[in-house]
Amino acid sequence: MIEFKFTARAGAFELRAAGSARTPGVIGVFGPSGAGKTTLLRAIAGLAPLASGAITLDGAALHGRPEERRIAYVFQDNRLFPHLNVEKNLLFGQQRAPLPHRLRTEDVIQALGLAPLMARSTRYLSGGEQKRVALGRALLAQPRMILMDEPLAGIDAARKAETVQLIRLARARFNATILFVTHELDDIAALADDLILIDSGQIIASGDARDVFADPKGPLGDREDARTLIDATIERSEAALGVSIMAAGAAKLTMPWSPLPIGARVRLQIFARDVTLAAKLPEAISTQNVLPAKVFSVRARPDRLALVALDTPAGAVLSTITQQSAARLALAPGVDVFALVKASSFSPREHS
Amino acid sequence: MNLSAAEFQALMTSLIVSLRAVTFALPLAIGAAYFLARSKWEGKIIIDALVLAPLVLPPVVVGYLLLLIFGVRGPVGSLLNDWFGMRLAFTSAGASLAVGVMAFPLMVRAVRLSLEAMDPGLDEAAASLGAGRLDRLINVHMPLAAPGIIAAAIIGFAAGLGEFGAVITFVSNVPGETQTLPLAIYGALQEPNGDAKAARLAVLSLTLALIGLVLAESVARAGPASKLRR
Repeated sequence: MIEFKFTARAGAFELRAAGSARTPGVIGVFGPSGAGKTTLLRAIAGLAPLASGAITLDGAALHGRPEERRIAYVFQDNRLFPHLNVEKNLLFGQQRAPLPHRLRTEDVIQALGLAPLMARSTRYLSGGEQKRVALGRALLAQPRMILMDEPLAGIDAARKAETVQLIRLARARFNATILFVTHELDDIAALADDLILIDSGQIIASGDARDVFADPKGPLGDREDARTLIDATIERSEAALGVSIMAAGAAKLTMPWSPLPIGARVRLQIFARDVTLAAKLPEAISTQNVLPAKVFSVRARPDRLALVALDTPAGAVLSTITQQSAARLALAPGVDVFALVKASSFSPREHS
Repeated sequence: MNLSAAEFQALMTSLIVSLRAVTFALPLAIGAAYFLARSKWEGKIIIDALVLAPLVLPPVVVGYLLLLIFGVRGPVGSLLNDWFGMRLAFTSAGASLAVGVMAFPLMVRAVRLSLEAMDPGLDEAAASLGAGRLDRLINVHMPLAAPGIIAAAIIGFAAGLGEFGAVITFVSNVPGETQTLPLAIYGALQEPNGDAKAARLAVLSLTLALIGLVLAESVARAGPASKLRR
C-alpha cells in the first residue's frame, strides 16, 4: 500500500495529495498536462521536497535523499549514462543495492531480451531498446517501487504495445510495483490495477481502477468516454461461430472470436455509450450480451445525458442514455432492467 | 636547432614549473568548477570573481600580491618559512605558484563548461539508482567531465609555459631556478648580441604553445559530441 497525504511545491505550482493505492501492482496516474503528475513522482522519489505531510510505502514513511529510498525512476527520456555501455548501465543500480537481491540479473536480461545489447554503447540504441535498458536498470536496482514518467507518450503503436507488454511482464514476472504516468485513459484501462486521478494540483480520486471508473459520482463519469472495466476469463472459443465466451463474475459474456488461449485473463472495457437499456427482455435481436441489471443510480451529466449506474452479475456497468429515455423507462435506483452490450463493442485486452 | 646548456636549462625549468603548477592547481580547479557549476548559493558570484581575477588583473599586480602574501615577510610566507622552512619567493616552487594562480581561471573555465554541458538529469538518475553524492561525483560527473579536465590540464600547462609578468615579479629571473622560457628570452634581449638566442628560444616557445593548443582543441572537440567512446 502506498498512501499519500502531503503537499509539495515545484516553483509556483503546489500539489496537494491525499489518497492511496495497493502494492505490489501497476498503479496508473492519470490527469491533464500540468496537473501535477510528474510532481507526484518526483515527491515519491525524493527529488521534490515535501512542504508538509508524508508519503507512506508499505507502512513506513518515505524520507531521506533519493539515493536512500530505493525507488527507481524510469524517466521519460530514459537518461541512460552515455559514458557506460548497456551492461554497465544495467548494473549501475544493482551494484549499489543492498543484499540479498530479489531479482537475478540473468532473469531480467533474459525477460527483457537485453542479451544481444550488453556490449553496445547506449548512443546507438533505438528508442525501444533504450526504454528496455532503462526498465532493466530500474528492476535490477532491486527497488521497492518503480516510477515511470509517461512511458507510453509520443511513441508509435508498435512500440507502445511493446512497452505495455514490458510493464505487464515486470508486474507478472517480478511482482514489481510500478507507478506510471499517462494522459491517456486507454493506457490506464489496459494496464492499471489501481488508479490515481490528478487534476489542478490535487488527487481527485484514487483506488482500484475498476471502482474509480465505475463510480457514477466520480470525475470519469462525466467524460464522453466513460466506461467500466470488467476482468474476465476466456472459457471457450468457437471459431466456426466466430465467438469466444468468457466468464465474468457470475455472468457469461460473448465477444468476437479471440485467438487468446482458453483460460486467458482479459480485461474488457465497456463504454457507457455502447450500453443500451431495456425494461423488458428483448426478443429476436442481434445483441449477444443481455444482462439482468438493477439500477444503482441515475444522474444528469453536464452534457445533459443521463448517466445510469447498474449492478449486473458481471459487475458494475455504466450506461449513458438521453434523459428522455431515462424518463420513458422510469429509471430510478432499485429498478430492474436489462443491459444490452453488443459483442463487437468489446475491446478486450489481455490482462495478467 | 642546437640548444646551449643555458637554453636547455630554461626549457626544462619551464616544463617543470608548469607541470608542477598544473599538478597542484588542477584538483583545486576541478573543485572550484564543481562548486561554481552546481552551487545555488547566491554569494557564489564573489567566488566566481575571485577565481577569474587573475584573468583581468595585470600579471605584474598578481606577482606583486603574491610577493606581499607569500614573500618571506608576508603573512603566509613567513609562516611557511617558520613552520616548514619552505621559501616560495625567488624559488622554483614560487614560480609554480605564480604560474598556477595565473592559469587557474582558464582551467576552472574548461572544467566548468564540461560540467555545465552535462545533462543534470543524469545526476537524478544516478541518485534514484542508489548512488550517493561522492559516488555520483566519482562515477558520473568526473567521467562525463573528463574531456574538460584533460583540456584544462593542457590549457593550464600551455599557459604556464608562457607566463611572464607574475613570475618575474614574484620570483625574479634566476637561471636554473625561476628562469622559464619567456624570462630567458627577456634576459637574452637585455644582453648585447643576444638576438639569435632570443630568436631560438622564441621558436621553441612557439612550438610548445602550438602543440599545447592543438592537443587542447582536439580533446575539446572529442569531448561533448562523443563523450569517451567505448
